[in-house]
Amino acid sequence: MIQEQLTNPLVILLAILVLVCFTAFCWEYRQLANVKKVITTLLPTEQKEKAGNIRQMLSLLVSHVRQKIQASKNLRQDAETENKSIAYHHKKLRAVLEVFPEGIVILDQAGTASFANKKIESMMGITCSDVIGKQPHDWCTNEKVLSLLVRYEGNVTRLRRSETVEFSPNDQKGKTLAVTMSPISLPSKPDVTIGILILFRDVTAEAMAKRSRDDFVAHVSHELKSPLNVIKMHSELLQDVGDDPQHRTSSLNVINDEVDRVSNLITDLLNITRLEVGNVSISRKRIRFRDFISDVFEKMKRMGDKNNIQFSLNLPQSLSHLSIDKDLFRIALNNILSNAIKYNKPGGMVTLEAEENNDSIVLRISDTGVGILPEDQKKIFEKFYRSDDDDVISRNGHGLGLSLANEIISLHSGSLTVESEKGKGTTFIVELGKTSTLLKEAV
Amino acid sequence: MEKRKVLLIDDEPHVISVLKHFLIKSGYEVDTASNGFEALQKVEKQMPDAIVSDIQMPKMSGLEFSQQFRSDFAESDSLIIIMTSRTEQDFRDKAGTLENVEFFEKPLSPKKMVIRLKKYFEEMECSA
Repeated sequence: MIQEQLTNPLVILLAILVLVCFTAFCWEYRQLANVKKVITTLLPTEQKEKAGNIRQMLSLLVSHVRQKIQASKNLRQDAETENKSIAYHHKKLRAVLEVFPEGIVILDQAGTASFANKKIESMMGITCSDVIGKQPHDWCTNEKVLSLLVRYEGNVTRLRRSETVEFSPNDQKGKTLAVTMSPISLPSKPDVTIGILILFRDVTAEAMAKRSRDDFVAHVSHELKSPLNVIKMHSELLQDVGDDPQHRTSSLNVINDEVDRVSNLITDLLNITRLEVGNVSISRKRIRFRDFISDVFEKMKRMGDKNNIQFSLNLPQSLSHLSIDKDLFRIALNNILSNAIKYNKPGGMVTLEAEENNDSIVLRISDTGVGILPEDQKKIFEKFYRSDDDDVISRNGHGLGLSLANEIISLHSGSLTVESEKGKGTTFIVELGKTSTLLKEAV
Repeated sequence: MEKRKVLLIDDEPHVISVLKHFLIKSGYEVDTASNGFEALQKVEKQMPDAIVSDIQMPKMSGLEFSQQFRSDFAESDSLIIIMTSRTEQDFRDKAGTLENVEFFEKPLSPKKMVIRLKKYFEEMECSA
């Protein structure tokens, strides 16, 4: 019976079906285990233990993925914020470089300009677009600067330390610019040059100050050595001529005059230097200005008498008292009056007139001398200026007297001006404010 | 033998008078000029064997004169002695590029100047 049933195709079919189902179940079960294994690996460690059946596992996985997605969103937002911040700082840095008072060009590693600020337009006469994206030989027209720049063209790493040259721009010869090239490196890698910073500075004022200082030293040295030279030469001459009375007298007179010349120069130099560095203390005192002027004039007159000069003092009956530094003001007036004598003609005239109005006292010191050429009139108050005019060359002088007088009068808030006609004479006009001298006194 | 000619250029008459005294005493023929401009006019008329010049002078300095002289009279080998002070280095540098230029420092000794010229002329005669 059983055998019959076993051979029954239906039963056989059923048995096969059961077998297939069992096999499929086993296979599915294995697959499921694999799936579970995969999910476990995807889950974070702390949640692996919590996971029970596949449903729980899937739920954990979904929530974990959600968390990840949220974290990634947050990260993107942070990155965007950071990008915006970097862009802002970049713009700010560019704005700073743009308003920088000096011209800036930045070269990248290949020597191509990656940045140039507007300042270089006025300094070098080129636009930023002429420079950016180009190599130095494309935009730099000044040979001196170019010779410095091309040394590093194509290989900026050769520049190890800053280098500076001074030059005058091609179209502005009176200007002096300094160009400094400095290697750019990151703080983390100071030995690696990643670009070059080129800085253009206007150093005209410094260059002029240096030139003027050098000129001053050269002038002083020349003015001091000239009388010493004459003294040395005449002392040798005295040794050589022995007792010859004519040579002796003449040489001794020359030595005497030259000693005076060098001594006067030193006094003037000291005074002018003290005034210029502001190292002089002005002791203003309220004085009888009329008496003071008469005194200065009379003393000068004695000196001029030797030169057969006529003197005329023309003062009003009374003049207001003024608050001035008597010693300094005496130097100023002496210098103007001694010029009026020195640059006069034989038998000429020196006149001092004073006039008072509501606000000021005006002194006019006139001579009938050789006069000053129009082109020299602007320069006579400059330190060490001496004209090439033969009438000036033929007289001794070191070009400091009027400069010193002008400084002293300015210190008293006054003004010194000149009116002159070549061959006819010169008038120096000193104007002193009455209020300013009184105010200064009050301060 | 013909006298050697020396041209003195200085705007300081007291310097000229002393140097002239010593040079004439040493047997030289002396001509003078008070600046470089005047000196150029003098050399055109008579070429000196040696020139003694100050450096800072009105109208034309000793440096300008020396440069002009060497370019206008390139065939002349006259010695140029420039009287200068050490601080005038700028002038010295420029004048130093010219041929046959020497410097005498101020304050200078006229006797030493005469000795130098004498030696120079002796060397000239030996080489000639």
